[in-house]
Amino acid sequence: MLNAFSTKTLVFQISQTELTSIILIFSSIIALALSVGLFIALIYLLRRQVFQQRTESRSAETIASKIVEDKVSEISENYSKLSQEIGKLKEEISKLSHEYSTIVTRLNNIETRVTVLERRTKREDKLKSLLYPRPIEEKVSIKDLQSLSDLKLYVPQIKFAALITSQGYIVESYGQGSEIPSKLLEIAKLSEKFTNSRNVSITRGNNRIEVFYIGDMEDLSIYGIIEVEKRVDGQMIQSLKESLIRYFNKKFKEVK
Amino acid sequence: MAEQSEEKIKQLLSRIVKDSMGIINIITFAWRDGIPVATIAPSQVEAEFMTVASAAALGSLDALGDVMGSKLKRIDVEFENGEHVIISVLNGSFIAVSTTPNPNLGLIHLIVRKYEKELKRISGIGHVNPKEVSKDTG
Repeated sequence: MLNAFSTKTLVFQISQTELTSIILIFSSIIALALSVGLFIALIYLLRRQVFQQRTESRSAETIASKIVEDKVSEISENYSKLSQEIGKLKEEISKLSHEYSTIVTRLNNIETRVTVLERRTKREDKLKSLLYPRPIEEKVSIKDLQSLSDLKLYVPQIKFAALITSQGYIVESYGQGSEIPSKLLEIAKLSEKFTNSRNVSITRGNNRIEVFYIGDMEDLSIYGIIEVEKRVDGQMIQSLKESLIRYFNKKFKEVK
Repeated sequence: MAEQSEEKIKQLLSRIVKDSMGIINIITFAWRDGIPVATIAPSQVEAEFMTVASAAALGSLDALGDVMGSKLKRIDVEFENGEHVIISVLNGSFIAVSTTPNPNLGLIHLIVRKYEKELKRISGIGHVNPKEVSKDTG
């Protein structure tokens, strides 16, 4: 009874101000709890975010490390290949150097032989000059011909020589030509149309054929044909031509 | 024509025969009407016959010249036996040559041409340079 009374009194004693203070205290405690909870939640969120960032950075690091590893492995492979190739090159260079040394020895041998030969030829020349008089090189000048066969005396390589009229009739000839003279004359006439030159040089096989204009006899033109071996030089051919022209002028043109 | 000129012409004809190295049998120089001036032949009859026949041939072939629109200059006749007769016209006169069978025609044509000018000069025919005409007028 007393307790009930006491409680009633207590309840009664708790005045309205106290109630408000209690409510305030209670609400402050709740606010504190809420703020603490929020704070904890904030901390949790922050930690979680940091953890996520860390994991992301870690995954990026792992990818980069993988790439780097791949590249390193590639480089190492390339390096091994290069080292192999360098080894091959070294082998080839050693072979080349060996060959070079053999060539050098051969060249030395050849040089020694050449020097020996030079000495020998000099010695032989000296001996020859002592034994025989040295021949003097002279230009072969063809003198006035008596007949076309005289050409053989000056140029043994002559195969054919002829004087031919513009009608195609042979006036005089020597030897056997490889081509029909009238055909050669026709070639000369054709070339005259195109080149304005009455002289034609034809190479046939191993022979050289020269068809050239000599002169006119009234309305008749006279051509010369010479066939010689190819090795006869141009100067000799020129002198042959000149001699043939002289021969024609002397024999057929001059009225005695 | 003076005898001296005729003699000179005959000498010239003999030179033609000589230069031909025996290819020419008969050679005659005559006027276009068939009167011979000088001849060299084995016989006189042959020479005269050749001259007359050549003059006749020239006369008949002149018609061809009319057809061709040009004067006749030279005739080369070949016979079955290979002999040739070459007649060269020289301003109112002509020179006729009879050859051996298969002659060197190049040589004959050359020689005939070679002496044509000289023949003109000696006989005084055609349009020859006055300086070249023989002073011996007979």
